[in-house]
Amino acid sequence: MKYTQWIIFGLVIGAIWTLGFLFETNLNPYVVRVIVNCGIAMILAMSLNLVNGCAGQFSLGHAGFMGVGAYLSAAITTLLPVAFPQLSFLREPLGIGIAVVVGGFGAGIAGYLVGLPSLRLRGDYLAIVTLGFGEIIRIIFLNVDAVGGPRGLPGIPRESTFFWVYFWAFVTFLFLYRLMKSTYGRAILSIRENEIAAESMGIKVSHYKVVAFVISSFFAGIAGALFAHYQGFIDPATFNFNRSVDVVIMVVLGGMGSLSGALIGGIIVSLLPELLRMILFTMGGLPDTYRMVIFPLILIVLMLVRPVGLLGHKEIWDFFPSFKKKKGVKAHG
Amino acid sequence: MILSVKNLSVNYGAIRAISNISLEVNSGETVALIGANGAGKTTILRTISGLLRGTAGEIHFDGMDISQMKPHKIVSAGLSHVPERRGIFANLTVLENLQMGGFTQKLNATDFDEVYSIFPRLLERRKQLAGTLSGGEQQMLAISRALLSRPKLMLLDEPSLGLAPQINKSIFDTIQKINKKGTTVLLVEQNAFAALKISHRAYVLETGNIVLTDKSEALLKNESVKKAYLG
Repeated sequence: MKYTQWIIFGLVIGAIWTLGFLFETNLNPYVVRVIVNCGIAMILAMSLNLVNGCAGQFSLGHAGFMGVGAYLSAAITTLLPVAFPQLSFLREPLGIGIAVVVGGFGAGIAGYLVGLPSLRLRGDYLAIVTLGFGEIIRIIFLNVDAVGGPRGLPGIPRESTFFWVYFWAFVTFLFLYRLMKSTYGRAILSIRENEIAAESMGIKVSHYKVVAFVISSFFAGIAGALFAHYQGFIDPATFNFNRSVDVVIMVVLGGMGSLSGALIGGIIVSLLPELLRMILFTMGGLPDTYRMVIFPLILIVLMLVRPVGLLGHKEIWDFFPSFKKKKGVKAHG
Repeated sequence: MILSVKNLSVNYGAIRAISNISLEVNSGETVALIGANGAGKTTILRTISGLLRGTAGEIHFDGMDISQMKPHKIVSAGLSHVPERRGIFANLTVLENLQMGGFTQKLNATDFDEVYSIFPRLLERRKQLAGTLSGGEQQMLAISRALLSRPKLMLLDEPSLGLAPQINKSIFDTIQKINKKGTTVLLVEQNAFAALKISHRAYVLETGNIVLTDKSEALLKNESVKKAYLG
């Protein structure tokens, strides 16, 4: 990165820190919780977008990888210090930062193991296999007593704050944005466009599919680890099929293959039910459960009106050409 | 000899698509492979470029045995394949499509200029999404993209498919031009007449077997070929 880019990076981090400070001191805890969950949803949506949107491989097991990150990091910060008292530094903020990254790498490895055999499949078959793997991961947690089995894992240090969630959301965004601008990103896109042509252009199709899957799982693991250290408690049911579907909805809603679309999808899917809760509350009378009827209806209408998702393949900045630098496209690379 | 295929057989499951065919392409030639629907023309091309695996036989390209090589290695070795129905990346821009062609190479501006000089239309439209091009332009894009991997041998699968006769003519003229510039071409075509006109030699394929091979000029005059393919 260039000098100016580092300054911008620092400014954004500073802005996130300031916002976090302002929110946590001024807003009520419920609102802060909604905003933080929204950040986690954004990381999940952006990471799944790489596989479902950019590479065109339909995965339905994202919650499983989120679960791997959550359980691995929680085990490091919660169980290890109990077993080995000399490792108690793992409960400190620095130790937790390390645990989050380790959770991400663990999920990445899980993604590699799942992706290697299953990415030979396409379309519906891949969706079913990834769904199956997601459930297998969840059922493993359900049956391993060391991490609490069905009782869940309580007592996780609650150290992931607004700052850390949005810091990681920013890192995810930056990483995926740069990735999709690179030759690597173009190779991933070309697989979605036409696998045979991509292969005859000299692209190792299976290699790039697995790479996309591993990167996606890594960030899902990060999101899971942040989630675990925000909630302070995780159980296998948190990472069930419904959560995978939630993430798919975010990606489809925002527009498959659009990074900013995934951000918007993440915001809508995590904020809309809460907004509906508020609206129903102020209207009085109507019970809270109605929001889960209205929410899908809104989604159905949206898909009828705009089946490509809110942004389609485009990015939000493509809609405002005046903001773009007027460089003009060169005639070659 | 740049490409030699010896006793190649290809199966789809239990069904034999290609049985025991041999063909050769010499450096600098344009060789056509003609035949009716389902004769196995596309299967042969796909097997040569590594997208399919043969069940028996040898494929030698530029002195190497490529019959067990992965497709991306074959492309790096200098063999590029323009797939049937063009296979462009519809949601990428024309420029991005061209850049994908040079995926295995380090490209510089002159490579692009060379392609633009053959197809000036692509320079005009480089910022457009490739899916918005006309059929003929898409075919030009597919050929240019293959050229950018600097092939020694280019495999062309049905370049005339679904194009107007007027555009066909210019596509075939261009293929001839590319060949004259030094790229060897193996062309698969249903449009036998056009293919024989621009090629040096040709193989006639019928249900997985090569039934005839000769100089293209001679085949144009051959009675049975005239009857079966030229009408």
